[in-house]
Amino acid sequence: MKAPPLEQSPELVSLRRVLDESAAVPVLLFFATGVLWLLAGTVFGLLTSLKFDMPDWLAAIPALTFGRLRPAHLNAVNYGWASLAGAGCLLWLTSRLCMTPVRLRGGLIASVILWNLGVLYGTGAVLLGYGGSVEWLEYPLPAAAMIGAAFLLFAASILQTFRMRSVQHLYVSLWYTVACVVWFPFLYVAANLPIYSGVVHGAVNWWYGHNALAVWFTPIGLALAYYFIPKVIGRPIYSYYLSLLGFWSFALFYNWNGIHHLVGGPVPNWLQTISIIASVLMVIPVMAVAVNHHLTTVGHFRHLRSSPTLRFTVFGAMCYTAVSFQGSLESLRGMQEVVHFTHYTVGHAHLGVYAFLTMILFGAMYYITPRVARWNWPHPGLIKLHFWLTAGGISIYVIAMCTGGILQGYAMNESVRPFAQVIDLTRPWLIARSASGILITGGHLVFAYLFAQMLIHAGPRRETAPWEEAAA
Amino acid sequence: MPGPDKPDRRSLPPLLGEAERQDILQIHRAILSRERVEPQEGMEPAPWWVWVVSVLVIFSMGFYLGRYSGTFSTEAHELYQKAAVGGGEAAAEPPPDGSLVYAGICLPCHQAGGTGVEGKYPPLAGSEWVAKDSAIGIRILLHGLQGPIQVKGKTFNNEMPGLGNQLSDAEIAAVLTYVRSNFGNKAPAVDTKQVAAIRQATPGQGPWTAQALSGVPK
Amino acid sequence: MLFIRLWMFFAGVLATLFLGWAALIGVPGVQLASVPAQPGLRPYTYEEMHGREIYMREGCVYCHTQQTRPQGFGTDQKRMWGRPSVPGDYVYDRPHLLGTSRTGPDLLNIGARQPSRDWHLAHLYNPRAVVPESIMPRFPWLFEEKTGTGPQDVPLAPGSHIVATREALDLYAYLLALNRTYPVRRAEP
Ligand code: HEC
Ligand code: HEC
Repeated sequence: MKAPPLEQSPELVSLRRVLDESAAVPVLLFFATGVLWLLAGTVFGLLTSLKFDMPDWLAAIPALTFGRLRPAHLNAVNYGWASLAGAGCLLWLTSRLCMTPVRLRGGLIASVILWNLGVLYGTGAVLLGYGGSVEWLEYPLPAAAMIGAAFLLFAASILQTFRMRSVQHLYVSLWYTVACVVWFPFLYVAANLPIYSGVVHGAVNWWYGHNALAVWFTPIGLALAYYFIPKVIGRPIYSYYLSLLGFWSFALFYNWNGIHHLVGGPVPNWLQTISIIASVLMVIPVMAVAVNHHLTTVGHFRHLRSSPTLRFTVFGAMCYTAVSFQGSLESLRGMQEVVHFTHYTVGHAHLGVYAFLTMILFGAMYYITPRVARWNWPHPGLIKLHFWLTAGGISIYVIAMCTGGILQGYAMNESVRPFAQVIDLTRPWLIARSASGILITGGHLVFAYLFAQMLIHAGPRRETAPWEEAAA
Repeated sequence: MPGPDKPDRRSLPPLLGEAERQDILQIHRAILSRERVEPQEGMEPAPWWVWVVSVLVIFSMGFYLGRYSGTFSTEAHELYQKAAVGGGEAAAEPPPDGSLVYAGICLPCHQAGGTGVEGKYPPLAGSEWVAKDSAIGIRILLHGLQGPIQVKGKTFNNEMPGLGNQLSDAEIAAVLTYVRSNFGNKAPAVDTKQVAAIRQATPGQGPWTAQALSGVPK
Repeated sequence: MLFIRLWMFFAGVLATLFLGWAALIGVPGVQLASVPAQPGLRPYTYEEMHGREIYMREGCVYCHTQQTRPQGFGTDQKRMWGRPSVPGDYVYDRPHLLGTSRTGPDLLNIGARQPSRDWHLAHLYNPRAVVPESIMPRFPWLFEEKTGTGPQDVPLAPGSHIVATREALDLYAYLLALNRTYPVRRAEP
């Protein structure tokens, strides 16, 4: 199939310029601080992983003990990197899809500052030993309040931009965007209320932990995939009906999933069962999205070679399908009996937040950054390197953790096997994980270097990107 | 509000000269001209099998709900307990497995293979105390042991907690039997009845000392 | 959107989130609010609470669970980790520390399984001194070196200059309080 022509009418180009210029400063701020948190979070993550291999390394420094580095990693990459970069992408996307400049820009600047201070405060607190020890909610209340306030400012900007839209039809990416900025504040406030105890607190913890994905991170990833796949290829998304089915079944089922983190635990039986059911029902939205994306892309796979955006995005979208089916299976009791409490869960989490979300964020940033920084990516070779380091690294990561986790689970359920043997069994897989972590860290350094070059307009002056020349 | 022909200068780096600004705008225009149409929605019907699979999944989960929802109470484990009773496994309690008790309780101190830890935890492998009359081992497990003790020619002076509150008579017999017939030890098995008898005969007993144990009635 | 109006969209979005909340938090919250503490359970003492804070500070929860599964689901029972835990075992736990990872063993009944203070202090100071295969971190900052030890001090081993701080002793007190071996009293049906 021949690629559809570029749309180059002067009016259209001028309109795009107005939109992108309105988004430029806030989006770049969100991106730049996001990339800094990506680097910090990656270092925390790598150290955490190495701690398993060398428990006596740096063992006398309290701030670098495993139990503090791990939450520092989780929070820095989620509330720092993925949230900030995701928010930047959504801003740009909303302006483009509503065909109107970004509104409330002063509030956005305040939002970036507050958000970063919150993450800095929270991560520092965790490292210094003031973390709350409740997974995904470790930040002390003041830090959480800062992030919450920053989010409200961001949400206000998105909703105001949306209100001033000059389009009739609301494209599917907008549904996810608007829904997630409405959902997340409720979720965040409800989960941070300091009123829970005992088993109910456990339920709140995992209701939140899973919903952070369900109502914030996954909608970002899907909004971006729904936008960039058709945008780069230049044809409509395959089916509006699939989009509708996908969105509403997603909204209905996903936020019932959380308690599958407590299967076999001391929470009521019926509660575990409905979460398992909702997890399996996730097959429906995931199938709808996957089919929709696939049928849009079919016949255009050669763009994968020419466009880094599409390459990262399609990789991420495929991993979304994979991680969701894996999650549906994993929630079943038979599977939980083995893999619950093992490294498998960690592999699953990275397949979601990294291979799906982060890769899509990279793809989106490759598209958006030239438009808001007004410069072309300087080194296409380094972009390739970035892709292969991260894609290769995360593949090794997920395979190592999932295989190691299954073996660990079976060994733990073999009651005659002393616990020490279970530890020995996981050792090689944990080393493989650290190795993959080194690849990923390398990829992030490359990306950060490229991004910094974009900010300061370094590298050769180009009017066309090399990969787009090849595609034209 | 900047219009199409009035670019928003505020978003340009302030220190640039006019020529550089123009150049950047030129590059920006080039970038923006390389775009394809904004995404739109196609109106193809969803493939039929998507609906079929959806309906099948919903039905099977309805079945799952009926099968596994329990009694809508705060019971956390009723399903598993039912399964265990129904399976006939729990009907007659199986005798405890000594190796499991060892791995679960003794291992952190006496180590795999019963080697112990130099200067802290005495070995069980080849220990004369293990090989002695079973009445001694039973007492150590029931009430604990403290003070200096000679094991295989080395002196230890530490404290072993009593485990009588935690382990049943059958478990104590099983783990002692396991220790006495493994790690190179070859002493006869221990009977649950003997454990019960000693438990009966020594209510309120505190930790033993090596000396006190040497004088216990056979 | 072709099929629905915008206000319906927003209503739907809010309704789905609220439904999930009601099902996973609201209803169980009400149901569990009526669950009393198990008769054998007592509130934590001041020292134990302090120890619990150390447990949270050092992130023990990322490697250790505090929930035991029933026979027929995993082998927690055979591993002697204690009877299956029930909601009434956690009434005084705030925040909860159920955990989701078993890089190390479950600790819900560690106080019954391993009451020895010597063992715990030596293990916290350097886990590999007592379990060579262990990958648990060391916590040397819970101990201090003293030239002369007084009768109050708890040295790591007789004659050792390394003594446990208040933090280590309170953490031990908490571990000892992790003991849910009392029989379960079930609610009347
Ligand atoms: C908290 C650590 C600990 C645990 C758990 C433990 N022991 Fe001991 N055990 C000791 C110590 C310490 C001594 C030596 C006491 C002394 O120095 O007076 C000892 C002594 C013994 C002895 C006598 C000395 C010898 O080496 O033969 C036997 C027998 C024994 N333990 C068996 C067991 C068995 C069986 C179990 C498991 C059911 C067990 N112990 C669990 C710490 C422990
Ligand atoms: C990196 C993961 C990790 C962290 C963090 C960790 N542990 Fe462990 N823990 C282990 C492993 C692995 C074992 C099993 C080997 C051993 O006994 O050392 C273990 C064993 C234990 C045991 C002995 C359990 C038994 O059944 O014998 C106790 C008690 C314990 N840990 C307490 C703690 C406390 C208290 C903390 C926090 C101050 C902590 N652990 C933090 C990994 C960890």
